[in-house]
Amino acid sequence: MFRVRDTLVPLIFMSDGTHLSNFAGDKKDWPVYMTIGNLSSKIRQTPSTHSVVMVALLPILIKNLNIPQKWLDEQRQTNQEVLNEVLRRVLQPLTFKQHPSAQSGYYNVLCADVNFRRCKPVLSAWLADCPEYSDLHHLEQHVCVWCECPKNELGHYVHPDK
Amino acid sequence: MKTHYHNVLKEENTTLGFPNFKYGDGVQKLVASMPDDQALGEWELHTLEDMRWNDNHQSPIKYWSRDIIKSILWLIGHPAYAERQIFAPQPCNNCDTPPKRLYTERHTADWWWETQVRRDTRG
Repeated sequence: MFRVRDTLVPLIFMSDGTHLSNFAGDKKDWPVYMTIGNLSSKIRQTPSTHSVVMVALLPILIKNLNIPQKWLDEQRQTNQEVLNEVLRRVLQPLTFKQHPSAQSGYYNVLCADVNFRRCKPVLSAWLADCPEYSDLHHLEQHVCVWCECPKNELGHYVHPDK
Repeated sequence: MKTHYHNVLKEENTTLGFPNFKYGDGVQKLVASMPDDQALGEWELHTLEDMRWNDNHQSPIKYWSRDIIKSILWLIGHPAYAERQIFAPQPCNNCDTPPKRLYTERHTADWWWETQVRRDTRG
């Protein structure tokens, strides 16, 4: 629980699969970047300030092209389990299921203005594009992550008031 | 062409045992050898021991990562960002009449307020 004078550190994660080469073995990278919401957006959006840190390179999932139909579901299940496991290990410092004490999750941090603050990092946002979200959440391709909009009606948004 | 800087580096190499600056690797080692609260975490190669892709891909699954907490400490404590850091939410309005609420920054929106301040008052 937050106490008076505790400081929230909202973490912003970004990830996207990056295509590296066409004819040399279809190389891909899958970096995960992190920044904190305490910095103003002007700093965060300026690449030369280096305020975005790369924290992980996820393993590239196996392609489903050469896999026979009967193993496809199993392979998808395995891919999902591997991705979950990797993300769970990367984000392990933010979860405190083993030691749910009052002190867990808080860090005494020396901030840039030379004050110590009791900070709690919280995962607040994960920025990605639509195919990336469907990879992370293990959804069907081209489906909205946030709402129940049917596939063929994406882009035809009607505001409920009108 | 040799410059004065070369000689300085050479002397430092011999006396202080600095890593070599001729390759990018030496700089990385120097950065990684800084004190804990000032350095980003080092890259580590992890292996998922008990998982395999499938029967045809038996090689162990590997991924690279670095310590999230160290990265957070580095970002918060970096002196270059000192002037533009925010540690508390603050609702913000623009100059219009009537004023309109701004949601452009993370600390001017609602989520931070609800997470940090409202829970304070609840105890």
